[in-house]
Amino acid sequence: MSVSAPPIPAAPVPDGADRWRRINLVAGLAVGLSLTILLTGQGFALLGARIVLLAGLITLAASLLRGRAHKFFSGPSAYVATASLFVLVVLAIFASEISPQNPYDLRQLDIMDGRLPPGSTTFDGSMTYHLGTDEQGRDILSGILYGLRVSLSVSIFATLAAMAIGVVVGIYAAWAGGRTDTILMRIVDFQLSFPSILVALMLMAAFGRGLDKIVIALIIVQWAYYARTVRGTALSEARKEYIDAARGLGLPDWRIVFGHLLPNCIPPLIVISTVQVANTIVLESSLSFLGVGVPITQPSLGLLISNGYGYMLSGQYWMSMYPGVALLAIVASINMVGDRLRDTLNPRLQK
Amino acid sequence: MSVLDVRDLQTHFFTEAGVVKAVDGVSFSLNEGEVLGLVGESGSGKSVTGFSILRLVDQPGRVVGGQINFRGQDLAGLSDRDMRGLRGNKIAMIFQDPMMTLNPVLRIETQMVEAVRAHERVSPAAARDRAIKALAKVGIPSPEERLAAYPHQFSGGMRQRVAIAIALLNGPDLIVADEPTTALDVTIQSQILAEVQELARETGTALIWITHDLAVVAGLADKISVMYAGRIVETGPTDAVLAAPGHPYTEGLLGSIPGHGRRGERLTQIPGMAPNMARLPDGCAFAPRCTRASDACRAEAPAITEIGPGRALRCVHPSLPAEIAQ
Repeated sequence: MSVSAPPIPAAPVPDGADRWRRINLVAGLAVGLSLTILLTGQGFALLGARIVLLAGLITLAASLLRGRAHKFFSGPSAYVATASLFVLVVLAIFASEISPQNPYDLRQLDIMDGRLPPGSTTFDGSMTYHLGTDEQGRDILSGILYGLRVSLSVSIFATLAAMAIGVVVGIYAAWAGGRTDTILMRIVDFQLSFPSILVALMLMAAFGRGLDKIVIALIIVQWAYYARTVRGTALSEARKEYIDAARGLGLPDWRIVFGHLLPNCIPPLIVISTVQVANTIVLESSLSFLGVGVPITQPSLGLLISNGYGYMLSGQYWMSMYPGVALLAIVASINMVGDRLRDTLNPRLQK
Repeated sequence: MSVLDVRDLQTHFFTEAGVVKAVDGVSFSLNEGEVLGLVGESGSGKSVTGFSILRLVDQPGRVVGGQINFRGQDLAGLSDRDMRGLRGNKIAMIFQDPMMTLNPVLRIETQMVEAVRAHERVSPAAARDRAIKALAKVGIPSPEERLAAYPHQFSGGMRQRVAIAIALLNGPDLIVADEPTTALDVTIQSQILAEVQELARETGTALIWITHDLAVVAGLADKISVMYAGRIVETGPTDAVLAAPGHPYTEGLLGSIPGHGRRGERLTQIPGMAPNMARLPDGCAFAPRCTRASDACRAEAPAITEIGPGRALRCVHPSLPAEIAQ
């Protein structure tokens, strides 16, 4: 080179980036695998898979916040929300180990212990019902832990699936443009013009109860949000010069869309998906409360609230209230974490 | 041997305000290792000419006429698939803003390896090697380490070097550079110009350098084509055109460069603004801004006429040195 290169300021070369990418991949695979094991079959008894799941989730969260931790934990609310979310997730994952009773094992139940107030003990004094029991003698605390698991897994799964569908539809609409874009977005507009609870109610009335059915209903209700968001981001990103440059490199369209466009649309997605998980939990609970959600054999928090609702006026508040508090805690902590994530990951605020 | 031969290229934009003839009958040819400077104001059609060669003109624009022969092959007749095979492979493009042309969320390595592997079946390791060589060639120190970096970790000049390295990856026969140094500091600009010139000479790559800056082209290009309102108004060897501009527009452009007058002397400027491309005046498009315009200019657009070896003009009243005028 005839011209001597100017001195380069030593830029931080991310030598750890490669390692983190591999770690992310492994953690993601581990989470996916353990979730599949747990959600299919009776695998909820598999302790190993659950430990792997928790480890994987922690790793993914750590890599998401890598280098931004100080920004994320900028106030006491962030610590509180993260801690309570962490505790609730651990409780949900290890519900069967932690809870004092398996509320769905009929051999462990005693109908004589029905509707005991918080702090009561069994007849022989072997166990204390810290949060009382419901009308069938099930420990409310155990019910909440199991219900938390159902609520969380249903809404996380539904959110991920809805996101996948919405992302593909939205990015395709933005890329194809013209009539395809118009048709797809009018479908989205049509879908979003109905209150989601109404659509979900109609769907559940048609489908009947069941975990798989409520997941499908939640996906149908929610994909449109992602489609609209992703289309908006993709439209503005697709006009940027790096997309032209990628076309100038002779890359095929699908590589440009999924390799170059999609990664640039991710940050807003992370944010709305965390907020959307909380919305999904609320929606699922509402449906279950209304009696069209999860089956009675696998109650979620909403169904627990609904079960105890009839006894509220007779002063037996604990059957409904404690599941309600748990619901409040999980929704509030997810929302607060999502809020912090938005501030942390928002590219417009990044300098 | 001629690498690129553009004949009567016409690219029109079909807008609601009417048909905009962004490129209207542009012709030029380019040999191996030759550098063509395509000069003009904003909106003169120089960038669209570059995009037309790569067939990257977006809707509502369309190449409506003319031929683009690349190594004897008319690009207009190629299928999309074949054209994609040429793009980034035999014909590369460098864009204006180095801040925007690299994907911000992908590492340099990912982008470079992808560019290699889009056109050739090579192992990722081999593609990586080639990327390292290309980065070294454009003067990026410790390329192995820099491969792992993201675009935002580079300065503007470094980023443009990376963009040039990506363009060089597959050993193209032709590089279309669309104002690649406009967004850079003058010092970085001259470094990059020197490097590009040397690379073109070394590898025999033909280069189309699109710019509005005659000073940039002066030191770099072998020949110049000055564009105005979608047409080439003057073309010729760089030295000849700069020493004795024939077209009043070229004269005006040269006159607006500061530095050759004395301190305190007023810079000359071209009066008026670039015309509305949807409603061009009859006759010569430059006539409303031209000091030498006559009724003949306003009546009929002048045809391009050869006035010397490789030199052509599109003007009724050219200012020519005596030996050519005779």
